[in-house]
Amino acid sequence: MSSKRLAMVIAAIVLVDILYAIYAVYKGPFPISVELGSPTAYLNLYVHVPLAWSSYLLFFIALVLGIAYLAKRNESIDAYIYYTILVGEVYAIATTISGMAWASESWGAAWSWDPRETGVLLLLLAYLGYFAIRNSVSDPDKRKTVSAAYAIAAFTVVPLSFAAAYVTESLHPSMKQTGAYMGNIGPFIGPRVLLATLTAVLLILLLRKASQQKMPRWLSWIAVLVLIIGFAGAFSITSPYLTGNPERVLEAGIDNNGYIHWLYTSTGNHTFAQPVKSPLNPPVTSDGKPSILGHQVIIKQNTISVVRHWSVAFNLAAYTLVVSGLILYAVYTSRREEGEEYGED
Amino acid sequence: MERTKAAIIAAILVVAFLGIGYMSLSSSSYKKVSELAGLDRKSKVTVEGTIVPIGKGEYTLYIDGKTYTVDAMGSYGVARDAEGNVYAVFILGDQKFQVLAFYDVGDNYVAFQTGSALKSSVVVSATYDPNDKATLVTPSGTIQLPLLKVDSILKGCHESYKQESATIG
Repeated sequence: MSSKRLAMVIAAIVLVDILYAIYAVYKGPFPISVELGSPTAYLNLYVHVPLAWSSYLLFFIALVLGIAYLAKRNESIDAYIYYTILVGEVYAIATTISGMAWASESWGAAWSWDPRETGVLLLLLAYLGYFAIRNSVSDPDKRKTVSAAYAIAAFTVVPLSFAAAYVTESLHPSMKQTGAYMGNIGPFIGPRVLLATLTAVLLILLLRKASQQKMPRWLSWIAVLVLIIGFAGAFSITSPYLTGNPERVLEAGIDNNGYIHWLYTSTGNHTFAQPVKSPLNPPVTSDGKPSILGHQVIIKQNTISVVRHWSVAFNLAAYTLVVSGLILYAVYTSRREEGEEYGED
Repeated sequence: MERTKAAIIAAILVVAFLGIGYMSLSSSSYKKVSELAGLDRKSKVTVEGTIVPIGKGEYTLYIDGKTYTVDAMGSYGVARDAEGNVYAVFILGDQKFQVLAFYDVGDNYVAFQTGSALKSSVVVSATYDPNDKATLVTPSGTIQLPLLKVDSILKGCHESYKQESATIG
């Protein structure tokens, strides 16, 4: 594929990916009641989970490419291993950071040494070792062989990290626990995982192409556009924090028609002269509890607005930054005067 | 030959990663409350435990020579000292070994007032010193238990995924 055609495909997919991510965090469903914090923090499902699954998939691709390199000794395969691990590592870092932001609300602490958290941290360190090993061997042939062998071995940590939630007590849910819920949110999470994975694979192809040919300059403007769209979406989520003071709903009085008569929040009691229609659908859980419990809200002149948790905006912005940053990096490296072979000092 | 060498290096690294992975995961899994009985020195721990109901009523709690009045609300109590500071008090464990968890609720005070802030089991990040004891005086008797000073109450999200879905608007 020519560099221009590849750039066009990437531009289209990345724009769709970011727009769909914004759509998902705005319109996507979340659990009606949760054990801790704001239920809207679970909108992070549409950013954190696709990032995590993409990074696992990329490390699996690196494993397959590592085996292929040892079998065929093809330089191009070595280059793809390098870029696959590079993108996988960036995605894994973003997964960890996005998970921490979410956990700070839904688990009560950003870092709990949860077994899977520890597993992902180990995974990050293991794949960082790939770059250290690669740069420590000066002979080009040996470097490629040793780093391919390392890429195969480092994959050992991936199933360990994945299995951590199954074989030990973990704050992370297992697939069995999330299975039924994932079915409920399929139309949102399915396309998000697909688009995030496709974006990640295209980024690898882009980085490889950029190491061989100049990429069109307009692609960097697409990256900037993606950044602006993503940050605008994130800003729109955080704006209630800037214009008002969100209060946590602790108790609520709601009638059978879904109208809220009073709220007891973290700042005190609010009684509404005119009952206010619940901003949530459905307004009550199947066992009759108001679904607004635990949410952060802004109450202004007899209106109640639900505020999406800040971690959703933060993670949306972080994902946008990762994708646009990697595109800008690819375009920049492809247009430098002095060429540089991939994976060298 | 070089291919064989690479395969050997990969195999050695796989064993090394498996070892490191196993050690890391086993050291990061949560302790059961009963495992605290085996600790002989002050330790930072993350403990998973079942909440033992403490009943309802006005109790008195003694820790480190300080006295607290406790408003027991079933699964936990809200304790106040003479200065007006507020703490959550709950018992974790089973028939064999129990500890009294003591948590400075800080800004979460309002949430604990409801009596439903804690469910049947919790994961807590805490400091355990086998020499620290708490004495809880209830109308039915006095209980002395090892003290678990809780830094934060962590919760999983397993129950949340069993819920139906909601949307905004």
